[in-house]
Amino acid sequence: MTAVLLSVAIEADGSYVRVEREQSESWAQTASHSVRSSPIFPVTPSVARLPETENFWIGFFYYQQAFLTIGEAVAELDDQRQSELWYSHGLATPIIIASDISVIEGFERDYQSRLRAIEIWEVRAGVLVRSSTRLSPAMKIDPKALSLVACASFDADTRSLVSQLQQSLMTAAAAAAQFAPRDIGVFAEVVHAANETISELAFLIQQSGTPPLSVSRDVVQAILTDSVQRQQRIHQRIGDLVQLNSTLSYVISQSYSGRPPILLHPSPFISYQLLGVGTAARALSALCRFVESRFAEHSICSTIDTKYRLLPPVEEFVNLQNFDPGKWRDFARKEKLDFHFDSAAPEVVKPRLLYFSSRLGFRESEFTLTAAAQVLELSCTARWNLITMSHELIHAHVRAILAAIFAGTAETCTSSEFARFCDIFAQARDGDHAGLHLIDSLRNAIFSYAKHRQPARRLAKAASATTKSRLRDSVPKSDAASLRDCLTGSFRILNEIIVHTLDYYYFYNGSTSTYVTLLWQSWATVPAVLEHLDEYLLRTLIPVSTKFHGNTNERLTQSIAETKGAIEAIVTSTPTNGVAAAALARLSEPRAREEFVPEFLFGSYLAELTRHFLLSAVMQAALREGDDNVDVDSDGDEWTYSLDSLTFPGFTVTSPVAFLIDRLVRASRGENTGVDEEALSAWTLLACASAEVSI
Amino acid sequence: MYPLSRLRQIRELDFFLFRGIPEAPDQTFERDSNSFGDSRSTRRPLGAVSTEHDVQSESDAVEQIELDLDTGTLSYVNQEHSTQADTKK
Repeated sequence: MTAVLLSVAIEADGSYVRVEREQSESWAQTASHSVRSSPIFPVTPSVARLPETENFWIGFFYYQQAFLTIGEAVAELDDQRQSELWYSHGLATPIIIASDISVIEGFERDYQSRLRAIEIWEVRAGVLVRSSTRLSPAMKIDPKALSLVACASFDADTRSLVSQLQQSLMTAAAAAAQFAPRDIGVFAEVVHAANETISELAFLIQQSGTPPLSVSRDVVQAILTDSVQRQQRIHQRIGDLVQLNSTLSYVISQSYSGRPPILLHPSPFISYQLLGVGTAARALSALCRFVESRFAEHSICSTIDTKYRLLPPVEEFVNLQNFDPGKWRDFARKEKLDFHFDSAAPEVVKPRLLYFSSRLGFRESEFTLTAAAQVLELSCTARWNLITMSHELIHAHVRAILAAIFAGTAETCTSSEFARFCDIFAQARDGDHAGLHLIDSLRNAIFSYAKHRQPARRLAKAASATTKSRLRDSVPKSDAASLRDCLTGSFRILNEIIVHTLDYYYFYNGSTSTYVTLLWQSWATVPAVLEHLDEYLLRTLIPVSTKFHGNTNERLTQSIAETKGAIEAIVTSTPTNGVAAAALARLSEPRAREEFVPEFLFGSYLAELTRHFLLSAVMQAALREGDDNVDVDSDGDEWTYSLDSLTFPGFTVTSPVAFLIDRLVRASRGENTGVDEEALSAWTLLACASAEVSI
Repeated sequence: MYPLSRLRQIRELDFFLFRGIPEAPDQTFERDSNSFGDSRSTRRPLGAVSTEHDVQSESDAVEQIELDLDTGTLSYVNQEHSTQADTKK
């Protein structure tokens, strides 16, 4: 048996409960407005069975570690008891459906550890005649730790925003204290972030008092003398509060819907309205917290802040003539950059708020991360795998890296330092590196990429319109205004190249087949990819090329060959993937290589910079270390996660990255064929949720 | 979210490049935070002329480059800095 639907129709004369394979037509037609349903899945499909009469009991268990508890139970319970055990996307997992309440009470007694709450329903003749709830003691909350600073000087609109935020924080914290104590730390961090924002806003409005720590001396001066800039900053900070408010509403409704009393807390996701998606939200949290904590522990930014300001400069090849990535590789080895990464001071973990979104899909911003809502039903597929979040998590990481590279001092800011940065760039272009350090070289190389970005686009266009082998174009000036324009104009694609390169190594361990499978299966659902096929191909070819040596042509040729092979495999296994088929056709065109040369040349320059100066082997290993279920082959290249589908082994996942990549590889091998995708997806999320780390 | 000192750097770089123009509402469904159609790609610094799509007309430029598509090599023509830089290495 696979998934069944647990439904409740709330009518004037009572609540009717059904457990059935599909929602009955009569319910759908006559009472759809009041029916709430959620799919539930058998823990042991081979013995699972539905109630034989309309008289039964349902026990909804809320555990801190449901996956672990189910595993412990499966090892001890006989087939009869296992046949009554189910799991869901919601916080209520496991669920026991039995003809006798003693089964539920026995489970509660035997598996008390980690139990946060239980709700029991008695159903007679299909009607919910009684429900009861028992809660474990909630974690104590210090209201002061969740209090926002006063905002009496604000206008009514902004005061209202702050007031809403305060109420949302208290609601979220109260729910977390009962059902997910680990989340309290997250909300405390939101309070810190909101208070910093409010303090800055107060200073911007009043233009007096002690300047907040969130602005530098130069910015304070600008605020006091430039009313337009002051207003722009006010808009920014109010925007931050709006974003926090909106996000908290999503978090509360998704993370804690389906909590007891169940009928009072429906989920906004119609397919999961009865029990919610609390466990799925925990899976998202487990993955993101794990990665955030690893990035904080092995902080590249700390290394840039300190060591890169002391280490000697490296030749930037600012005009890209005779660019030789081998020299960068040799420099990184000579200066032992991995040692510096390993010994860098950790950065404080500041968790983001997380939720699923149908509208935003996979996205990140300063305060939030969202995953596509399709993950809920299809997380076992390559198209909607939760590991796609890696890209968003790295965007957040790269934002910090670029900020560190372009940072001013404690008293200055990027604006007031930019002219000096441009002078340093000019100095390096003249071949003079006196007094410069590695951080200057990185900034110079980024300037160099930015300067060549637009010519590269024009050259690529020209290459596709001619059979000539030599093309000419012009590059912008290197004055401060031009360089800023170049940086602004290329900032998006510059970010993408760095992100893709880090993603390729950190999460996919440089495995082209795994990486390409994830990219081109997930991109099959994105309309923009076909419209901009060459750019998406370059986003694949450029990171892959960094594993090869040789000149530009050699690296591009090898990257095309390897990428083409991986896309070919997708087209063979998934003939319906028209996007991958179009990509394969493009790579097979006779002049594809020549036409890719212009953008590849400059893009690979930036990717090589990333590979040698912004990527830490320590961090790469940290994403997999510490989990006994990870098996690595003798070369250290391929690794698997020893956990069979739909099983409950009685342990928790420690590395959700290793676990999810393994699921992705299994999906691409066709191992999920014939398996109920929704059940496997719910199980994947439940197992992933077990990897939660405390903040 | 970021530690305060990092957040300050991020906001200053963002403000410098984009002058605090808030991100526009999404126009299309995008799986990728910074892919085509993303609001950020449409942001321009106030007063700036150039963007990704209209950077620099050739008449404003002072340096000429030549790219050999067969060999993938780039060279600067009529440009003093590049040759200076290369010969000094």
